[in-house]
Amino acid sequence: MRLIAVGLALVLAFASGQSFFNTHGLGELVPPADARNTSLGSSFAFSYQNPGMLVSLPQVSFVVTSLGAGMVGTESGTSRFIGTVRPSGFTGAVPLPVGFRLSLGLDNVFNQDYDVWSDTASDSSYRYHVTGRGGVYGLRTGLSWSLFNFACVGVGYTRLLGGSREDWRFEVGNGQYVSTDTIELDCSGNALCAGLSVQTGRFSVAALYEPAVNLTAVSTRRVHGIIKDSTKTYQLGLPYSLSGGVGFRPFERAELTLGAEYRPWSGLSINDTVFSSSYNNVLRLSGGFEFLPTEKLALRIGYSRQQPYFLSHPPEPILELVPISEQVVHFGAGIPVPQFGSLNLGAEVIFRTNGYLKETGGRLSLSLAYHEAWLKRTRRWGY
Amino acid sequence: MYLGRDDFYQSRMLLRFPLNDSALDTTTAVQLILHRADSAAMSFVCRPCSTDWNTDAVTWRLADSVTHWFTPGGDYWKVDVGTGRLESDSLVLDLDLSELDSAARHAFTSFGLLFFPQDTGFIAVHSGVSQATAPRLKLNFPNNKSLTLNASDDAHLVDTVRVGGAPALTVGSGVAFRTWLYFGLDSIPREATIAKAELKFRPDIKYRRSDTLRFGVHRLTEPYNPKGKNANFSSSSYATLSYVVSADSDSVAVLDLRSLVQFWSNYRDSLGACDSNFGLLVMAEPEYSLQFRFNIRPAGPAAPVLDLLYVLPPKDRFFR
Repeated sequence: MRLIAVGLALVLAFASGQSFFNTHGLGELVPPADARNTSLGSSFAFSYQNPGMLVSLPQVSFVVTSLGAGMVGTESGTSRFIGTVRPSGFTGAVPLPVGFRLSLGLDNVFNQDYDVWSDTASDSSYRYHVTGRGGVYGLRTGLSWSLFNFACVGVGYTRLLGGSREDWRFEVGNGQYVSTDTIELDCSGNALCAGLSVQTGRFSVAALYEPAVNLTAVSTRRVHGIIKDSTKTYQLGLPYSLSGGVGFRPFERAELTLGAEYRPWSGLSINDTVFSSSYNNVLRLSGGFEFLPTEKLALRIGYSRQQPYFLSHPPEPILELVPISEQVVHFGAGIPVPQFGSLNLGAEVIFRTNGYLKETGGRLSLSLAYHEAWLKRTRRWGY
Repeated sequence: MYLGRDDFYQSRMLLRFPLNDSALDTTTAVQLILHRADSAAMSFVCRPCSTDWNTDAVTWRLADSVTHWFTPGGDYWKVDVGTGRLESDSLVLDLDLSELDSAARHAFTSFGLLFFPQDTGFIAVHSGVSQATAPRLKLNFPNNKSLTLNASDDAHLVDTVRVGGAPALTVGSGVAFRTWLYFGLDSIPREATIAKAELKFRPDIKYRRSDTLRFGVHRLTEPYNPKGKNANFSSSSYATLSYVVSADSDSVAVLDLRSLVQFWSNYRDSLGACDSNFGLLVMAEPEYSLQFRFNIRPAGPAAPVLDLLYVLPPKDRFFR
């Protein structure tokens, strides 16, 4: 079983979710990488990204999550499929004396993978074929303090690093490419966060606050593969975010959770200029329900909805940017892995549209959690 | 090589054989062998050429790069040494040298023969490029001995006299006519991708011997001035078109110049000007193909236009 689990993790270790909308902004904001959390609606406050979730941590633990995703995009009556697989996160936690915990993690924060035949952005005599690879990753560390075995407060620091490469190819008749324009983007920044949670046998409450983040992005472009344009440096001011969640256990083998995240993306600044007309304030709502029909099997279902933070372009000649709506149905299961930990499976069916381009996709998350402590974790949020 | 004539063109052939002055002294007969390269038929006469000529430079007006014929079209002795009709794949023609005096013989052995078409139309004759079909001279000697010589030089001269007239933007084959066009492209942003660049015009056809006219576009590699028609240009074409003459002769010729315009747009001087854009030549492809000639009107709806569509590089992702 252990070999199978590790093997599955390795197979999925080269995958990633992607969206046809990933050409915008910093790309798709990736939900916290944890299959259990994913299957319950991907609440940020109840995720590993909240250092205040470590109420219980008897032993060293870690969890590796991989993600496989496929997406069918439909634009102007034409459907296309994109799909990839790659790791989406790793997190580990170490108990320290007097209730302190040290956590480490690596997450894909923004995903910038895509492969798009852009019909709406093209002219009749040519069209774009745009491929992008990369994203922004967060190297997290956090320090938590568990109080009275039912509460925890924590602070975290995340080093944001990332890079992407976009190839914009102009295709004309006979499948020939006129030229390729390449944009390379490197990002770096520092982020802080503070979180807390209170977890009792019947109720759980969690909150996570992330102050505004300054991100430095260096863009280099090469036009036609020949002309190297000047390098541009952007100072991005990402707005703060506030996340909250509540959990309620109506009876022993069931738990209901609700989550909300708010981030005023309209305050995103680029070189001190606010681009409120291009970005959208985001209120993401989620809910999930977990049921344990047996001691060794957890079944989960969830739902979330939001308008992603970037606005999108409708087909020409419409100039006004339009928001994207996203609704996701989550479900999954968790089983213990004897002598190892647990294996959680999370699946999402995603529906996105801006009224012109529709996406229907699926994501499959697989989290492999190490140590017996994770068996107990099915009964309680956090570690 | 072409031999023939019509209302607009006349094409004569020149052949020279490696003979010395005494080569004909002991011959009993001299035979000329020609091979036809197409299916037409043509009657002709041939006469000794009276002026030296250079195969690389000879034209209707010039015997070499500096010497004019006394008479455009070639100087010759007015003695018919051969009269024949080329109507099968090859022709063996007995030459009659009896009427040649010593000067004319010297002209024949030194400067060769000039061929005059007698019928309307044109015929293609194999030149000396192929040994098997090269024009030959067979010298017959007593005792059934003979010597066969391939032509050492050959050329055809095309009369352009009747083609001239008012200056026009002309493109032609057979007699080469080239048209130089220049389009100012400095306003195209340097970083633009040329998605479409089509040269369009409506040829005003003046003469053609085929329903398909093949012409193309070459890039000038140096400024048109001061060299003018002698300005260097690229040997390979950037675009070619097999223009099929329609019934109403009114279809538009379209040449795809995307790669050429992209090339011009990529290379700029410090002021942003396209410093490789010296214009283009529209010329027949190849210029020795069946004769045709058309004019490009310099103004009006049939005038040449460069239809451009360019795309600017994508914005950085934060501004899309």
